[in-house]
Amino acid sequence: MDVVLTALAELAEPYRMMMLFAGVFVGLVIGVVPGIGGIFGMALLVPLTYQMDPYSAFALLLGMGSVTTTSDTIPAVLFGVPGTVGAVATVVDGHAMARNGEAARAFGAAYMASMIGGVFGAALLALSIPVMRPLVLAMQTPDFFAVSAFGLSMVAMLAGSQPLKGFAAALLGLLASFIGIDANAGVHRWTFGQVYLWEGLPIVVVFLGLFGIPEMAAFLTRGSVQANASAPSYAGMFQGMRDTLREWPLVIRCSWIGTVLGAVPGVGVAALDWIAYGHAASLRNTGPKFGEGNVRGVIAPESANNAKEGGSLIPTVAFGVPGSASMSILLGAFLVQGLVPGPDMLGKHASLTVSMVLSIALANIIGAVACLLLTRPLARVAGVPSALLVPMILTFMLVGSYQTNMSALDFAMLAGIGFLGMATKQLNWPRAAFSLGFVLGPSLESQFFLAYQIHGWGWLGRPVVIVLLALAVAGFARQALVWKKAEGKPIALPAALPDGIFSLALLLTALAACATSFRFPFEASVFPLLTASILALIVAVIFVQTGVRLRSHAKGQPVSSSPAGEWLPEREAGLRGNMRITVLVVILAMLILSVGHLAASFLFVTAALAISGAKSLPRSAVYGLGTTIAIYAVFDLLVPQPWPEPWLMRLFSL
Amino acid sequence: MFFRRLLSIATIGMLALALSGSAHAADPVTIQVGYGAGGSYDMASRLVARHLGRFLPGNPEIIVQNVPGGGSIKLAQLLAGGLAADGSIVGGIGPGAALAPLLDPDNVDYDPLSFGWLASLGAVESFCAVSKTSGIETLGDFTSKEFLIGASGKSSTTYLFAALARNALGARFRIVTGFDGVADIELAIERGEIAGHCTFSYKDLVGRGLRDRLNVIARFGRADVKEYNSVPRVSEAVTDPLQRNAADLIESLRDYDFPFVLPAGASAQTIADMRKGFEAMMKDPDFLADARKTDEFNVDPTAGDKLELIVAARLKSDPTVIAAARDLVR
Repeated sequence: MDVVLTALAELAEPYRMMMLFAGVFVGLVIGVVPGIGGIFGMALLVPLTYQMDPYSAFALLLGMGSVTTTSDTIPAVLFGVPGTVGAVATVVDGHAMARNGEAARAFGAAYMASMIGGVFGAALLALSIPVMRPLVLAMQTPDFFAVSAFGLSMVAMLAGSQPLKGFAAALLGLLASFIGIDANAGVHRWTFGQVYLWEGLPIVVVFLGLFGIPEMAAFLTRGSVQANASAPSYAGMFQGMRDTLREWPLVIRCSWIGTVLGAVPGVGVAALDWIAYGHAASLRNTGPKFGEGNVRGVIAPESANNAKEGGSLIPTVAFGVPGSASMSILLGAFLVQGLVPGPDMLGKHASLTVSMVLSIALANIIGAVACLLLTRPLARVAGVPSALLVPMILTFMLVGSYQTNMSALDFAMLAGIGFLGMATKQLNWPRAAFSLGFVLGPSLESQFFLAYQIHGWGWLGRPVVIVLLALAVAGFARQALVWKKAEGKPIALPAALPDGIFSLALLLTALAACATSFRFPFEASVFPLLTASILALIVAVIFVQTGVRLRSHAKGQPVSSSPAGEWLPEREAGLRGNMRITVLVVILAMLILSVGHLAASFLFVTAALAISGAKSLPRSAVYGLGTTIAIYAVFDLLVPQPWPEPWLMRLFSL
Repeated sequence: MFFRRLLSIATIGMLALALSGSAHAADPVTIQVGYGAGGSYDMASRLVARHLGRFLPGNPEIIVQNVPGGGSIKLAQLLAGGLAADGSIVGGIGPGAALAPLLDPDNVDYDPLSFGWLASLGAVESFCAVSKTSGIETLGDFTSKEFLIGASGKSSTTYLFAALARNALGARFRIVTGFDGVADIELAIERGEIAGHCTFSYKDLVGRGLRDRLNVIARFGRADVKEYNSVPRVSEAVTDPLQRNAADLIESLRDYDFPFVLPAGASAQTIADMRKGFEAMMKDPDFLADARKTDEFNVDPTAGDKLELIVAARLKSDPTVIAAARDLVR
């Protein structure tokens, strides 16, 4: 108890509280802006802490790290553009709610869930302090593999109305995650001689492309986020908060998922929010289907992703083994402060450890309250015409993507993945399943080989492994029954011809992957080969099914009722939206490359607003200037970046 | 009406030009580091970033950018072609980048001598050590018993040194690859899943108090390690002269660790200015005090011209020695 009081007294000093607030502020900003996340914020803030005392330093760092996953909900719900990789699962139902005119409710539910999840994670961290070391030591490599495998089994819940396509999408995600230099053998897998691909596909760009670009296209077509422009009210927000409180068992369970998986190395925030989402989807549900705006689909990932901060501190504090990427940067701050993670943190420095717990809990509360206060004005954005918003959001997305590698290939990647996103959205290949495969692929592979190298096959007998794998099988079996029951019922299906072409393209990709993965050394080829072969098999079946459908279609048999779940096809209007967004992306990319990100932001927003007739030219220029200032504030002042010299400038300087 | 529109378009154009100009008015120097944020190379680069500006003409602001990939080989490949060589970009690479074209010719093709070698900050020693509970106490146990040594990927130092120890000493241990980093390996040692690894530093053993739990078996490198100077060096245990030269080549990698370079094509003047800045910085008391605080390595600097000669000498090693070295780390 003494330790807690000491920690509280230390943290309550005005300067330290100020640091906590400053951290929360930076974290909220970083969370809202797509393309930059908590890791980025850590790298930004750590150097500032060198001159601080440890309490202030960790108040600042943890204050920032705790709330990026609170505010990243804002663009996710409003526009379907995830603010960080931790908000991707929130997009699915959160954005659907906004489209249904329930943005305020989604926000209320999300912030409440974030707050409870964050405080819960901190509490678990606090409770685990005395038993932290034995707890972490009890988990062995095979158990980590089993956790990842169990996570992957959640794909059954994300598979959508055409389960085969769900599996294929997950396998495609796995396959995509194997691109790059393999961590084990050091072999280049499908890098095509491009240095850009050595580190694999950049996860931020993948998610912006997969979700952000298609949602922008749909947004452009629809005219505004919600069809009926009813004024958002506090009533909606309070309803959302009540939703979260009513669903407290779900909140607690998902907070558990977040904390525990946060502590397991290799399962990042991007994976655990899908696992929480899948868990929620596997339960008996009332209300709309998952994917159509079920509030539980917002509550689950939001409670999990805020709980993870506490969880990932557990191995960091106890052993100096970072539980997440941003924790490895935090570890640098430990060393600068002269702190050695390990027994000392639980003994000599226990009050500091407790102050970290308090910082996380407080930050979550401050962050959630700040966001709640902003809900009404933010929800009002849902009624703003898309012609005004799309150019501005697109600018942030592209500048955010560009800063990941500062390479023209960032844009090519965004456009390519964006195309994949638009196609899969139109044709009912669930992007959620792809995401889960993509984020879990690397840890599945590396943990499997570690387990195998250390334990042979003996690890399959470990109790934790047996329990987790059994749970995975049981979940699958239960979902299989659901599919069995649904068999024969007519469901809506996408147009057969484009679907057939797409599955043929996937089939060829999978076969090419099979053929080329033979050339990798054994340990680098097993997973890709296995994944690609199963993918080829499944896609072949889908291709044949589509072919049959195409023929019966030609014979004039009736098809389809209304589409369900995550799938939202938009027919011809949607295609036009896709075309327009593609053109906009290309123009903006070329502008950024040739005149730099600031001038490009200004020119693009001004021209787009003026040409589309959303605003008069002078007013458009004001919006352009505003966007540019915001971009400058985030990407140049807050986070100074070495922007490459624009092409035009290079021409002049020659 | 037409005139007004023309005017506003002109204003917008001017504004845009001014913006794009002002964004690049100040010319900061970027240190690109070939590793992710948080590791020791990242910390070393940020340490340099805090001080180097004071010793360069015009006192530029210095920014650190992480360009991780392939243990800094990705960055080295970029430095060899395409990056601005006007002094606006400095590369912080790993020492292995200087030998990678020799050791891994299938995947790496650049000429390390095309870089402008600026300085290396310190020498880093490495120890092979195993947990006391593993029952391995002597070099004899280490070479004769079967057990597991942890490593990251096959191109990392953790693997290179472990493989060197195994092949040079004819040991029978297996190397488990795929750990996320040294911290991850050490946790597996603590769990009892593996016995040890071959990249412990003197600071790990003494500063972090790990020596109470570890048996130190062998060492690499020329650094003075005080009470551990009597621990046998791996290359000294090799009798065959060719093998010994090959082992030396690998073992000496970290003698000039934390190297900084300019991209290929830098002018002699740019290199000279930058070398002067590094030299002055590495004698600066503020820098040295900060380095002690960062506590990643002992500052034991080597000047750029000397470093360049060392790299050149290594690259001109006898092809048979290089082939033997390649076999030693397989």
